[in-house]
Amino acid sequence: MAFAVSNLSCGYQDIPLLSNIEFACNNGKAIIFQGENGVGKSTLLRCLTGLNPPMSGIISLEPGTHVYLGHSNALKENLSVIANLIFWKNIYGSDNIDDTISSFKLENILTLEVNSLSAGQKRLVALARIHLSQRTCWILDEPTTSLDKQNVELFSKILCHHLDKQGTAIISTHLKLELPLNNLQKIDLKSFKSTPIKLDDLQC
Amino acid sequence: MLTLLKRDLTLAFRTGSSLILGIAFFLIILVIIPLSLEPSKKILITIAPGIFWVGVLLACLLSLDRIFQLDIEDGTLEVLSISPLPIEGTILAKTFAHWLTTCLPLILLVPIASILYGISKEGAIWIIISLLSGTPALSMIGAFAASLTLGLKRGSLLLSLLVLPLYIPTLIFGTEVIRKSMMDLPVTTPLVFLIAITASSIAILPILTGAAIKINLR
Repeated sequence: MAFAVSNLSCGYQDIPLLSNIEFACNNGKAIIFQGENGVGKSTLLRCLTGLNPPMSGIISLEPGTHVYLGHSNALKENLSVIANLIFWKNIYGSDNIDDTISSFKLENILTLEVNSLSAGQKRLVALARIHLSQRTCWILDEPTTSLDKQNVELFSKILCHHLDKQGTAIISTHLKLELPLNNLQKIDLKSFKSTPIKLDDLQC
Repeated sequence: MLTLLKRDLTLAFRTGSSLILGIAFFLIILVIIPLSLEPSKKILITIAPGIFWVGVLLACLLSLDRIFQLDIEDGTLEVLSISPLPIEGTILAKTFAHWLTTCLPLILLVPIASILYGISKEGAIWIIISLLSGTPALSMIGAFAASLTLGLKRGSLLLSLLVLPLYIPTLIFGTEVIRKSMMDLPVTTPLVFLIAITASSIAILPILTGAAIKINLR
């Protein structure tokens, strides 16, 4: 079992959003969280990474095996793509930078500064960092934001390859990723929604 | 840690503005204060230790909120906080980069600036020793205060209010070292206190700063 969550509740600041979440993720499998805006997808992912503490419940994840991509790309605008990648390579101590560059097809934009890239290209470089980390559990928050169809396919291919190598992925998205169905478990967060706070309880 | 330090230095030299701002601010203070006093060499020499320290302190204060702000905005800090590099290592590297780009250039200016005040060569050397042993504490205490105000939209005002009282001991012992050396008195006591402040803040504050950052990232 690579990743298991039992009886987890999480919320934004003090407002509970999701409760009694239960799931487990085996090696080679991916979980996709779906749900409307504001349901708590990002909050749940931040909770799983350890950035936010859970309100209650247990998250069992081997420490030092996961890598997180949030809404922001964590790239330095004033540095070139290759400088950003080399920085993260050194932080993660990884040795697959050439492989990453070729599988994400970044050869043509390597020497450009990040602030001269389009939003989709920036996202692709941010995804390259995830691959570069060589960690087994990818936690991705809307990874395909502003990617075009071609790049979504490219990313799906890389993700499948990652799952084939016994990696896991936990993704929140509203797009359809083309993955083989037996690898994929979809969870709709609507069923875990906390009971909404009544207006009378709020002190305005 | 070395990677992070190298990246921060590259970024500081690439943008350049904060680097030049600090230096310009320091020089302006040093030049303007003698102009506003009566032209007597005796007065200048008496106030010089204080002015050098206040100049460095205020120039340092200017750039404090930038230590973490840019990394918060583009999401780098939250990724770094769950990366293999311990958060204390991140903080030490970023604080050291701040010291190298803010305090060290000012210390390098001291030999030139001391001519303005008619300070002897030995005096200038003692100013440099005093600043070298005290300014790392300014950066470290500043980084701690900056981490406390991270989540606030207009944190820089609160940051200066928070940090100034914490700077006072460093300022007192720092100027004391220079004053005693100029009067040919033994400087051991204030110098030891100054180094103790620096050493203990480098030992303790990264841990507290790390905790504050983790809370503010939630």
